[in-house]
Amino acid sequence: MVNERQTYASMIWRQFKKSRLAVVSLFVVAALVVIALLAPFIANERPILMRHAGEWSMPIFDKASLTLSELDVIKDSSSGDLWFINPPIPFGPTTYDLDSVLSPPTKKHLLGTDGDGRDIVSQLIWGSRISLSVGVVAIGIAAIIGIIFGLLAGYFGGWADMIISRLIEIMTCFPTFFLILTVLAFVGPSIFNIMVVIGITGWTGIARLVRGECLKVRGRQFVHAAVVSGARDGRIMWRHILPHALAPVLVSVSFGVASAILAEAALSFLGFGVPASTASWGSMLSEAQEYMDIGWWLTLVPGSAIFVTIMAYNLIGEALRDAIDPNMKT
Amino acid sequence: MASYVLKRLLLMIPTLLGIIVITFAVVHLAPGDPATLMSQSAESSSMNEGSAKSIVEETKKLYGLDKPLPVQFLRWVQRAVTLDFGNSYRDHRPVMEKIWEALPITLLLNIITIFIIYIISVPLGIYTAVKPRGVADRVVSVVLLVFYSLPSFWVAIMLMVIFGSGDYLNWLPITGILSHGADKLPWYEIVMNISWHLILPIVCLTYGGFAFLSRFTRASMLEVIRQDYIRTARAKGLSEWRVIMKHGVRNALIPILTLMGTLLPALLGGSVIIEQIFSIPGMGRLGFESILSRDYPVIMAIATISAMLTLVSILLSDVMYKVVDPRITFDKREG
Amino acid sequence: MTLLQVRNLTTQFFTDEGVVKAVDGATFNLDKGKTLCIVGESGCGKSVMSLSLMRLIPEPPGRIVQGEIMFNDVQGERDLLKLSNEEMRRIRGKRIGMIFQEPMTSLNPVYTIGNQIGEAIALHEGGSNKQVKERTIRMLELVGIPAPEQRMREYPHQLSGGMRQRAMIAMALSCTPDILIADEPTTALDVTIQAQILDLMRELQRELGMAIIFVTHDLGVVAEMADQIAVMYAGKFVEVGTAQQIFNDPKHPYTQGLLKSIPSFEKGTEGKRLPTIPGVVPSLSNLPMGCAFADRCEKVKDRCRGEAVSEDPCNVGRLVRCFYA
Repeated sequence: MVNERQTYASMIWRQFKKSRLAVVSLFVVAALVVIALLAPFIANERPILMRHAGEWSMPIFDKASLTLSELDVIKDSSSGDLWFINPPIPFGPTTYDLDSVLSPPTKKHLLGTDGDGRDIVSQLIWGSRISLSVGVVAIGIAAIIGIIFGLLAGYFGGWADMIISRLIEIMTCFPTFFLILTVLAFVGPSIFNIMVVIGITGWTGIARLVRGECLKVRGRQFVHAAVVSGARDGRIMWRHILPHALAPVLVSVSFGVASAILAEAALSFLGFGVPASTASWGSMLSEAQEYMDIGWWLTLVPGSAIFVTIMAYNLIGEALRDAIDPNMKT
Repeated sequence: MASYVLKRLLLMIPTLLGIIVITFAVVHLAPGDPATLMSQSAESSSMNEGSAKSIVEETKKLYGLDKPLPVQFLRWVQRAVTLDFGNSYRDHRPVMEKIWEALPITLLLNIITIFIIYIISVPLGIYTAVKPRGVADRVVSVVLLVFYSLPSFWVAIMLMVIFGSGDYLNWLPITGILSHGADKLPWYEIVMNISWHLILPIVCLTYGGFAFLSRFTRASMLEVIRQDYIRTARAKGLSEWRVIMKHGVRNALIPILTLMGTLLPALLGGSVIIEQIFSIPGMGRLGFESILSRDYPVIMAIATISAMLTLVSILLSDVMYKVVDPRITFDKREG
Repeated sequence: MTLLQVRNLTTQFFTDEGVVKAVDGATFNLDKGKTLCIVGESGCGKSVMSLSLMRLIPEPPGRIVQGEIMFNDVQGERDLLKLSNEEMRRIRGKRIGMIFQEPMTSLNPVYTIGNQIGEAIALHEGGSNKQVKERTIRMLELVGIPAPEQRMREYPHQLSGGMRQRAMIAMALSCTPDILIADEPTTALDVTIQAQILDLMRELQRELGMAIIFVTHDLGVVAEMADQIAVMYAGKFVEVGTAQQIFNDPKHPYTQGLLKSIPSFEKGTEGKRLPTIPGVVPSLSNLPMGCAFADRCEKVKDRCRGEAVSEDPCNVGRLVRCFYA
């Protein structure tokens, strides 16, 4: 069993690798994850490492410590026992550089600044944390709900199937984005609420998929064998049915992450996203609208970031779908 | 035929009931006191204490939130079924009146959008299926995936800057659907004026839809091309064009037609953001503004009505499915 | 008169796993009004063979790499493999008709029977709608479908399996072709229906005078239909001869094995197990240098594995691809 599954996975991987764009996309996603995780070390208004008066410290973790601009002032007047390492981007997402408001890309601000003098690169890097975490957590929630409901409906059939299928039908009747907006209007926008709402409105596709796979697999010999040998329902679903449904679910998850990132960006764009003090790609775009005529980089940069991220997930999803779908082979 | 439609209509009842239950649950999410309401809508600074208080009071009265739960529910069912959603909190006009103004605009937008998506995607899908994995197929698939991945609101604001702001080109209008004062023009001028206004929004609504539908068509067509009857058609000596167009397409279209039903809610949801950006007074914008100002009666009406509309369009596409697929019969004819 | 002369026909499929030699150097003649049966186990390349004759091999991955198919009708002799696609298209359905194994899936579910038959007539014969319709009805009558005027308005799913295959035959014969290629036409049918269809084909052959290439794995059917028989194994013809030669005097060990595995009702065979040929057909993408049947053959000797077998090494006087026939 394990062996068979391994060869199936490696077959998918072999097919997947044939798409060069998809492999590049995997690297893009990996790079984004690294950037998001390391955001405090990459773009920060405080030094990564500092020695002052014989004491070592990491000011990036200490909101009360001095910022780089403040340190610059001290440095000239201090006795010399002051040493620190700058992050590569020496601006936080909320560092207001009032000397260069609405600056186009320069050496100092690689992609310019916004109307409040905040560095675009820094906001972009910090914004990736919102996009990726919303994408992953929201679809994680959707996948868990979808898999459980799909398994219940497909495995038990009868009433369970009846009720869950109806529920799926009802959910798909609502225009998703409007539903998300409505619920957020009632519960109030916050990153947590956004994740949950996108998650609980996005599970129907996965549930359908798992249900379908379940029905397909249920009739096969090895499931009968497991039933006959007295395995419990939970174990049969988990060990024998789910692995078969996993590949199509993965495709769905990949596309789902893309659309969740898009949904979050759209919500932030409409002012329904994370609080204004948190940098997010959508809210950057929303603010850029004010300066569309003079600050092209304000619109272009965050939009491109959203586009590249979504494209990467979509390419991965598509290559994965082609890899598992024997019918696409000619 | 009639009995089939009737049967499907009856099957819609539990789904309809489910929709009503869900919307009823949403009403109950409404905050019961002005303080919560104000704290939740900190972003929309339009809210002051007075309006927050009146919203809470009106909501209590409208939905009878002080009555026992079953009574509340029955009242909500009655409202939903009779499409009586009360008056808007903002201008105190009947909700349905506002919706009847907005609905035709959104429908116009969506029908044109769906039409364009089908007109472009279906031939593309057929074309790429005839020579799968070829150069054209790959190029089309990547280009369409790029389109699919371009956030529509980003494209919308960029198109506005390029074509409508006057900074670069000043070719197209960027707000509303009719120029100021244009309603006095003769009808054909009005049609021209509206089309003029719809160009940019429709571009933004359509391009993202090509990928999905052409991909779907391609898959459906590939499935059909493998069938034995395609080989039979070739063995008859039909030209490749006729084999594909007559014997392939008709079969491949069957699942594609049923998709129409599922496209509608997506476009209704998608148009919130596009209608907002282009200031088009349709359902999406009405909904969004109602959400901003906590105009609950309008929000609930839109959610309920669009869900019902979707249900109807699913029914329609099911009926269409039976019409185009002779294998499925309405009444038992065969023994 | 020789209608069809196939020489060294070779069809290969180029797949990820290597080159599949589905048909390897097939050579045979087909006479006017006669029936040639191509017999073999499933996967031996006989269906590819019949599709190759029609040039209906899906390309890629398949390709007819060499050979010639000389077709000799009223318009004179020509090599089908050298015709343009357009010229070949005019031969399909008009001069050579074809029917398939699965009448349900071979008929388009969304068009009526009449539409699908009329289509071929209109394409090759032309004529007004009325003429096409009349001829369609005549064809349906000819293949024994009752109430043809009603039947022609029905969809394939409304007909029974036997009726569907009759409709397929009507379609293939609607332009009175010189050759009918039948690819396992009775395999999917019940035994009684099978017999009716075979009778019908023989009757139509007498009436219309077409030659039939009958592809099957069923020797019982072969015995009823064949004038000539070609036995196919692993992409190659291993024995070709008249029905009498093959049934009364099989030379190739494979043919002998096949014949032994037909159930017989002769005295003395009751209670005995039916002999079968041990082993399986080798993969067509990885054929041995020598005889492909060597591993399953009772008479195998060293020479069989080491050396390619020519068409008639023992001078039997007909094609018998065996050193020890």
